[in-house]
Amino acid sequence: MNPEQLQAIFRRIHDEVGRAFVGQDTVVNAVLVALFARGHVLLEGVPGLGKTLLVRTLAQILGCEMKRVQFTPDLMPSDVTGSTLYNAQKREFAFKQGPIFTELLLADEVNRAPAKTQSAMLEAMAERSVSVDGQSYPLPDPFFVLATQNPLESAGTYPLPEAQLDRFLMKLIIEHPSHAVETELLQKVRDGFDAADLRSVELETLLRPADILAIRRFIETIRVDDSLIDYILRLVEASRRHGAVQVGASPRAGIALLRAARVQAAIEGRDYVIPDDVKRHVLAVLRHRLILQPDAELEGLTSDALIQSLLTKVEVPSGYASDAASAQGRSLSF
Amino acid sequence: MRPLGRMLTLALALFVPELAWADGAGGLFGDSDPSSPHEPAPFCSDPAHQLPAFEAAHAETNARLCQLLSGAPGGRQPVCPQISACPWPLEGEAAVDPKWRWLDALRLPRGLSEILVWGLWLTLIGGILAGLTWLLIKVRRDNTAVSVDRPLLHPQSPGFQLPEQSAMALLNQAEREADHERWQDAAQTIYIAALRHLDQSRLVRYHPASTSGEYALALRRHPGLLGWFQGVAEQVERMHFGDGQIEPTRLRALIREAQAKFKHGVWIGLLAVLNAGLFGCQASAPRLLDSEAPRGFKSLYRHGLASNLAFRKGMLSSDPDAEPSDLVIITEPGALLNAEGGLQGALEPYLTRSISVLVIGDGLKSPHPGLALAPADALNETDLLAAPLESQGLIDDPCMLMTREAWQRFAGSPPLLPPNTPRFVLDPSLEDLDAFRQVAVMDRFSALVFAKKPFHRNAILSADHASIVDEEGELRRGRGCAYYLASGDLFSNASMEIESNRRFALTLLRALAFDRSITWLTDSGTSPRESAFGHSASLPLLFQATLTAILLVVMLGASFTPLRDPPVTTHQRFVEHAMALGDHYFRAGEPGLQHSAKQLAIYLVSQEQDRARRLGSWVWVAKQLAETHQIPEAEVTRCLELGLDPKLAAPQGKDLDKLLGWLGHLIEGKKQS
Repeated sequence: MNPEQLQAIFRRIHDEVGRAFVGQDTVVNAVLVALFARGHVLLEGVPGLGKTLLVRTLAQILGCEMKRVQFTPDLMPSDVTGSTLYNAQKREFAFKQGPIFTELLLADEVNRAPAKTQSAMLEAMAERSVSVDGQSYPLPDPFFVLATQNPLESAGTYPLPEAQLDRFLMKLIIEHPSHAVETELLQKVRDGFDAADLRSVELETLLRPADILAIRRFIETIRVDDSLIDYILRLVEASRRHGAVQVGASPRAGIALLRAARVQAAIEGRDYVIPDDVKRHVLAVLRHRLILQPDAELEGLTSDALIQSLLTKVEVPSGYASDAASAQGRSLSF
Repeated sequence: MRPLGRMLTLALALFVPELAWADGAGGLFGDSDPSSPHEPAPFCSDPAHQLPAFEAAHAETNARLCQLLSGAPGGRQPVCPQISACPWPLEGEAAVDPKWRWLDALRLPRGLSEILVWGLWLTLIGGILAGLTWLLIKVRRDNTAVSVDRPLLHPQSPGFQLPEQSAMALLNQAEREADHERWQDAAQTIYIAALRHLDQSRLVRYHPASTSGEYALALRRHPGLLGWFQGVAEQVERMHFGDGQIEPTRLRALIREAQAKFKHGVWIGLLAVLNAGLFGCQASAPRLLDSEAPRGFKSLYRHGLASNLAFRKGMLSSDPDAEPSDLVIITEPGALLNAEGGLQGALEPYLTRSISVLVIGDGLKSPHPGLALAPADALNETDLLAAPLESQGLIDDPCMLMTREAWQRFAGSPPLLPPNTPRFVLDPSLEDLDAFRQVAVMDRFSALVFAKKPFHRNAILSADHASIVDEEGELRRGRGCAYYLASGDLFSNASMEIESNRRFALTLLRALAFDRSITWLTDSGTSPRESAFGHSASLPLLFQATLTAILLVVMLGASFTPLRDPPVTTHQRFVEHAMALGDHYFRAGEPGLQHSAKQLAIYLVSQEQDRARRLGSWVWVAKQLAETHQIPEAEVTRCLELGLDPKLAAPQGKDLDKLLGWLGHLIEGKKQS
């Protein structure tokens, strides 16, 4: 496998996704980045923007099993993780896997479930295993969670705790499609496209789960110059030092940024990361990890605006000073 | 100095047309000095005037006129303008000793000498420009030679600033580094050169925190530059962040491509050639006309008009005694046309007081620009026909136009005109003669005489051997005459540069005023700037300038297009503050809610400031709010106290919820009202 082949694969995936899921190229790209960076995505957007369709389409193209959980206030942790049931015939307790045992999980309206249910996903998302009755059960690999939440409704919702938010590699904000995209969408529906039945599109399965793992392994060999690590650190540190920030980005944020940048480099057919790869995903990676000061929030400052201002203040890496290190082909992996 | 001045004037006229005719016929460096109209008349020192030839021609005309008139009934002697002998020696006569006169034979012909002088000027200017160019190239070469061994910092190094060197110099440096196979330095330098060029062209804004991808995004509307820049960025990034490999062939190709892109000089040269071509292809060179008659008149003044001329700013007075002159010249009749009785009404008091008036009209409003009108009665006295009438560029076809009455009056002895001169009889009752209606309604102007294209002065006298005027038609002295010159072009700077025009104008004014005093009213009803612009015929120049600008945009683009990223200002809505408040409540719990309550109370106080000022006390404000919103007065007072007292903290627990509710009600009610 080489970068050019990988770029071609990603391009094909993009094209194939586009056959069912029209527009939102940025979101599709970010979701793919998160998937191959071994992360999870929190998708914020109003209902009806095709979030479920996107996951189903990806599952089919990537050859992964997909399950959906509709989070509700009465959802119990065991409804997600599974529980131990007594088998009367065999006279023993047996673990019955919950819907979390899948490769692609769509956690719809995740903020409608109470904190204890949300916490049940913490271990799954971070450790990729589930512990029930003292027994740990590994989750399939790859394991990818795409959670959604509605930004408008607040009644009857439970905001995600910071610990869980930090587990999401990215928080993406999905907007209404443009006029042209929506026109294309309606034309597709007019011509027989049914989002509930993807067979009408005849999507091609391009990868298998094993291929995803192989690609992930290749991505870990992508070169990251020391200056870029320094750049990521300076960004993260700047978010902590900013006067309007109560809680800055965690070290996990830096790791997430590095992984996302590597995948982005691979998507663009490069075997080395450049500052653009980092900068491209800073917003999505950091926006849900920052907690602003109350004063700043009341003045209307948002995480996005703050991150944008950080980006204009933190100089991009020189690379010149670390030519020697680059020439030696040093690469880093996490 | 004068040729250089004219050349500079012509160059400036490309961009500032008004400068060309701003002051005198010579332009910026002309010798017209409006502030000193009383300088000794350089009539004799003007080699172009050719005084001897003029005197001879005039003497011949005079003689023939006298010969003709001697046979006319009454034996009237013509009144001819007397040109006095020049009181100063002609130029060159005194300076040259007679024994050196033989050197005159060695003088070059006039045309050849001009070519020689211009050639010398051009050689001199070319030499200076060549020297400056050589110097500039040498300095740049020295600069680049010094810096060739000093690799430049990476653009994104801390504290990096783009170098002062030009993009072209940096490119040359990159080429030399490539020649020495210092590929990394070459790639680095070409990247900096690219940033320098793009920043200088205002296509991108260099910023240490910007990446190549962002620069490329800024260039998305310039595909030609985009592809090249991406190629450069790829090389540099691979070197810094990748395997450190450089493709020498690709790098050289990028340098060559950049050199072609940066060579603005070629484009500017092409534009200059194009401009010169456009200038030459214009249907007519810009007419350096000037309707500001006094300027032209001053030129005339310098060329020998009697010194009994006074300029005065102001409109024509209704009281003739206010103008103690024998001839008043008005340059703007438009205002008089609007006066009571029109132009004729305005002039009548002057004419009855034996003061003649010369009206110089606006040529744009006249159907016949350059048309000269004179009362029929004045013809014989003014000697217009006796003088050599010559003019260039004013009227295309020589002709004479008379009213029916004048024609009948001169039926027996019509004025002498050149052979084959069309003679029109104008009947004011003819409705279909629209073109003449404007002049026909002026009853006072019974005869109209056109100024002519140059025709041989002898033709005037030889065309008709009859007497010029009837004895009875002679104008009685002591009565003023009105003359109308439909256009001021005759007295423009450009017109006065033509010798025959100048001579005609001199003759005309001398004939009108003799040695009597002349007052020139120079007040202008319209803006001189607009008038000058309107008469400048600068449309071709403007078109040329516009075309040049468009070509510059197309070819160079960079400096002529706005920056890609205009500043965007966003305004936060109240709802966003409310959302932020909600978010904060969810995360921060009660402390955040207390803070929010405090802020809302301050907001409420700020909203009610005006009411408090009006009522004089916050107590009354609380009463009014309580009545308006149906809220207990004590609660309103609590809310206001929280906002007014900076030390007072918001309550906790259920009180806090209650207080927030009241605050929300008060603020929301305020918004609704």
